[in-house]
Order: sequence, then structure tokens, then C-alpha cells
Amino acid sequence: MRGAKVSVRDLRKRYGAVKALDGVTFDVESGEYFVILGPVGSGRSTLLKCIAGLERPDSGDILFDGESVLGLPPEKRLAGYMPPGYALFPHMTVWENVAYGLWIRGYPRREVEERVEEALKLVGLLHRADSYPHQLSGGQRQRIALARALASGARVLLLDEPLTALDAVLTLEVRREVRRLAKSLGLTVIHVTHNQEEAMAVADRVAVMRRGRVEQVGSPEEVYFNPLTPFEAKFVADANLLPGKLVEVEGASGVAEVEGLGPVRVLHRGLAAGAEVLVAVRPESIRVGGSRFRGKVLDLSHLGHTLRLWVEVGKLRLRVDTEPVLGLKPGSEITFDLDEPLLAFEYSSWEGEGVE
Amino acid sequence: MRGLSRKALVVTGLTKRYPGVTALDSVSLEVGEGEYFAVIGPSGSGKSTLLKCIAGLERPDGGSVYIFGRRVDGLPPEERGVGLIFQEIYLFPHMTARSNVVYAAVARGVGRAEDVAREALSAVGVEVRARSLPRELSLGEQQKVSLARALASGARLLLMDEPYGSMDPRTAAQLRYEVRRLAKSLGLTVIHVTHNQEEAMAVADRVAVMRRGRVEQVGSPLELYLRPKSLFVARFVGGENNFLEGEVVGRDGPYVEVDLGVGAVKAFGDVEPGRAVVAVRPEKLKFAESGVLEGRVEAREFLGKVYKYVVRLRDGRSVLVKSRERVAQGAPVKLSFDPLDAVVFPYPPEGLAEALRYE
Repeated sequence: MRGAKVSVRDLRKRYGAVKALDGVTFDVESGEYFVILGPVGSGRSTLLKCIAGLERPDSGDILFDGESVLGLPPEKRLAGYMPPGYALFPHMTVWENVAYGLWIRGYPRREVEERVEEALKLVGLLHRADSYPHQLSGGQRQRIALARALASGARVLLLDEPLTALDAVLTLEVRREVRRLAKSLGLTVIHVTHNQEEAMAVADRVAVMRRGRVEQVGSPEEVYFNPLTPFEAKFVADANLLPGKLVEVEGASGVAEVEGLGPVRVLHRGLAAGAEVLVAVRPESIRVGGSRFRGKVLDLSHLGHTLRLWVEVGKLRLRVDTEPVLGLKPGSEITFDLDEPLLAFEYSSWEGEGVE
Repeated sequence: MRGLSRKALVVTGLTKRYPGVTALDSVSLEVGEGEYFAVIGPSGSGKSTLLKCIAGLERPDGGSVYIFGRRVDGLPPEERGVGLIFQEIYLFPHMTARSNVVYAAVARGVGRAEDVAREALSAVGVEVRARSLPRELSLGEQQKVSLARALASGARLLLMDEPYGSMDPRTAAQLRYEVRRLAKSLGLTVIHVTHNQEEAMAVADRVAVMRRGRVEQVGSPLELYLRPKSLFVARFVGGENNFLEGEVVGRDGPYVEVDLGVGAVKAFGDVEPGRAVVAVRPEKLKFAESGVLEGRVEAREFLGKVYKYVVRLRDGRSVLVKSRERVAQGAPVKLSFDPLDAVVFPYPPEGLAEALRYE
């Protein structure tokens, strides 16, 4: 089996006044694991449904291996679409769930049996063929939904928030398993999520979507460490966006005067001295225990392997991530350093909902 | 029962049996006034049954519930003085947000019900949406209205079962902090039941971990993370964990020496010599110049804040490592850890897989 190369060309789709897709273009290579990361309402699910054939774009094109599939109905596209929660039929057995799509398309009985058996073998659940979905674990239900997509002969898997129904530990196991399976079968995967960590963990490449447009396509590290917009810095890495002014420029680096912090070394893209900027400070690039800055802990929260602090520095409120340690509590005074250089964006490039 | 009056909630020996299952197996808990208390556990662990027994929605087979010092066994839910918040948000669909809240104040029989409702809506920050119908509100706003309704009803103890379960995770992650701040600023006591350990750890002062109808451990999020008292807690709380089998061979102050087969390590715990399991979290394993754990990087995932590695040890076992360092796939590495960051448990009689199982 070989996954199809998927090309999306200037895709547009409106619902009334809302531009769900506003000119989306990208290529997904054969066998690539491609993740679309974006908030609710960014157009990511509409995009996936257009690729699956469940929605019709207003204009633009979608090609599988260079051939337009716009004229094809969903069942002819060889794309397996998995909606959030995977929509298994509760009253049907595992076998029936996997076979259903083939039955309704009128496949001959032998063909159905062969394909279902093959698909269940691939996901390692042939021995649970007679079980009902409620008798399976969350991870197993996930694999059944995958088997259903595989049985239909899919060469492209379209996964819409595939992990939201699972709890934390299971999510980690299942996402690794799904990637492993797709890679071993050579399938092309387009996986939609709001979850930054999930996107980083499984993707070969990530597309960050916002308001019907793709803001950036790149490797997880590119998108995380080198975002093109302040929105991305905030959405992908949860960066603090701090207003300031560029006071020195030397090529792509420089010094910004951040309100409430003072001068910090920055990288920027072609800005001139005097420009109003937003400096992005990722929570983990604030190093508690340094000596340069001083702040007060307002509140704290345990996020697994990190401790999230809200720290007040003058009028600024910073989100800070540090190792879980004893002794920090609201009211604690801390000192910190910053990992420099930081990224500076032109202030006007932020069209978001207020800056901290 | 003097001394109970300062507790918002006391549960003693609560037991509930369904045919073939003991949903609650003699559960006892105390929650102080103003405390934000979370109950976590996998599905089927009894956490929702516990909440229903506290609320009066289920009748326990044994044990007692005291709310602000008053024994409430046998009282219906509406006479227990508690506010209930569920995943499914039950607002009257034909009534505005304000009317929904006023109704709760009227039902409680207070004068100035309109004022009470306004204060409640303003406390939860949806005053400007007061004239909207439930269907015109986002799920987050609807849940805030149901919170305002609980406040207007005069409840000082909020019982929440998966309150953010139907919301998209980003909304839920914001709302959980807002609700905590609100509860703290109003001095409310909260019992928050969830399967999502991250949500609980993020907002709770203390957390009870349930399994199979029993409470395995109660502690602050940091205690549960650093000093789990059982293998199950070590797995269920705080994200992924590594479990390494070995043999306790000696003692050194607060530590024991454990022979892992590839060499001896020290870890925190009070375990007799014999078969044992060392739990050490991926973020506590450090790439080092020297270390007993030697192996090769088999896989790397980028998670943003850190890289996650699967390291295959020389004896074939694999461990997870989280680090900000970028190490190449295939690279030989040595791993070390601070003995304070590793916890030793006696090898469980039912086997390691069974001790860790939660589905």
C-alpha cells in the first residue's frame, strides 16, 4: 500500500458571512504524517471535510496524486475519515462496524470478509471481532475506527481530533500507536487537533491555521521555535507577548526595550529601530533562580512535569513554567533570567484579542 | 460530633453496592471550609458514586455524610445546601440566564431575589449576558450561569462532576482557573470530580485518588507527584512514569539501595530487602557523564517545551526520558537521577501490570 500525495490549492469556503476557508494551499507528501493545528473555528474541520468529500468547497482544488478528486463522492476518494469520537455503532459488533461501509457499497461477501479480516489483523484486534464497542477500551475503539478506514481501502487517513475521547495516559499510548501503524502501512495522514503537544509529538510537519488561513507550515521545531506571527507564538508555545520598542538593530538581531522589564536581546524580521514590537517570551524560557529580574508569585498550578506560575513583575503578569519544587506559594518572591535572544514581532501584526 | 463544625464535608465509612460491584468500599474523607478538593480516578473507580452519595442523589448502603457539621443522611438533595454542577448543563431553555438564576434565589426563599441573582451573575462574570437564552450562550458561559445559579441558591459547598467534560479543552483550561479564583474569592468549598488528572492537579488544593471503590491516597498535587504511596498513584497522576524492577539490597538513611540488574541505584523509600519496583519520572532522568542506566536513544519526539526520548537500555528494557537537551537518534547515552526523585515500592503480589492497570 502507498499513501496518496494530497495537494490543496487555494481552497475557499464560505458559510454566510463567515469565511471558513480563505485560500488554503499546501501539499502533503505520500506517507507523510501531517498535522493541522488550530483553535476551534479556524477552519480546520471544514478543511478536513472538504478533503473527505463531505463538504464542497466554493472554489479551489483538491488533488490526490495529481488528480482532482472534487468530482468524486466520498466513497470513491479512498480517504478514510474519522470524526471526533470515532462514531462506532454501539449495537454492532467490531466485525460489523468494520464491514458496514463495505456492505452498504454492495461489495461481494467474500471481498468484505477478506478486507475486514485483513484490517482487523493490521490493528491487532481480530480476536475481538465479536465484541461490542462498549466492551473495548478507549484505545481499542480507536483502533477499530482505524480498521474501518483501512478496510475501505483508504490511502489517506483524515483524523479529526482523534484523541479527545481518551484520558491522559491512554492518549500518549494511542497517539504513538496510530503514528506507528500509519508509518508501517505507508499511509498519508492528515490529523486535525487543537493540542499543541499532540501536534508536535506525532507530526512530520505541522500547519498552523487561523481564521481560514494557514499561517505557517513547517517541522514541529520550526513552528515552535520560529513562529512567523505573534498569534502562532501564543497559540503554539503559549508565549507571553510583551509590548516594547526596538531600540537597536543590527541585521536580524537587536535590542528591544520591554515595558516593565527593560532591554532584552531579540531576533526580528526586517524591522527598523524605533518600531513598536511584541516580544514573545515562552513560559519555559523564563529561568527561575536567575538574578536579573524580580517578581512575585500570584498563583501556581501543577501541570504534570511542570509547575505553572503566574508572576507579577511591576505591571506585567507573566506565565512561567518551571520544575515542580517544594516551597513556592502565592506571595513568594522569585528571581529569574530570560533565555535570549527572544523573538520580536511588529506590534501591528497582532490582530488578537488583547495583549497581556 | 464536636470538631466537625469547621469541616465543610466529612464522609465516614461510605459504602455503596450495586449487584456484583462494590462501587464505594468504606470511603472516609474530610474537607476543610474553603478548600478546593478534587476526586480523581479512572472510570468505574467510584468517584461519581461518591459525589452522588454526598449530594443525596444516591442512597449509600452504609456510612454517613456531614455537611458543615450537620448529618445529612436521609435528607433529599435540595435540603443539603449544596450546589450541583454536572457535565450536562441543565438550564431552563425558555428562561433567560438571569431568570434561571433568579428562580434559584426565589426557590431558596430569599427576599431581594433579583439582587441576589445580579450579584451571582456578576460574580461569575456573565452579567452582560444576563438577557440571553441558554442556547445563545457558549458552553463555558452556560456552565458559568449554572454556577451563578448554585451561588444564588445559597450553596456554600459546590459539588462538580466533570464540569468541563463537554467543552473544548482550551475553553476548559481557562474556565478551570476562573472557577478556582471565584471559589477562593467567595470562600466556597468545592468538591470536583474528574477523570482528568491534569485538570485536578492544576486547580485543587488537595486531591483524592480513587481506585475500585477505595481512596488510594489523599494529598496536595505536589505530594502525589513527588511521593505517590502506591504504584497506581505513581502511574495515574503526573503524566508518564518509568517503572523499573529490581531487588532491594540495602539501606542508606532515607534511601534504599536497589540492584536493577545493570547496577545499583539509590531511591527514596522504606522497603524491606527483596523484589521491588523503582518509579522514576521521565523528566527526572538526566543525560549524564556517568550513570548506571546505559543505553541508546531509540526514538525522539519533540513536545515543545521538551524532547521525549525512548531509551533502550543495555538489558533490553526501555525507559522514557524528557529533557530540553537535543540528542540524536541512535546516540549512546547514560542516565542518572537524584535519589530523592525516585520512589521504591515492594513488588506487588498481584504483579506489576495488574498493579498499574486502570482500565
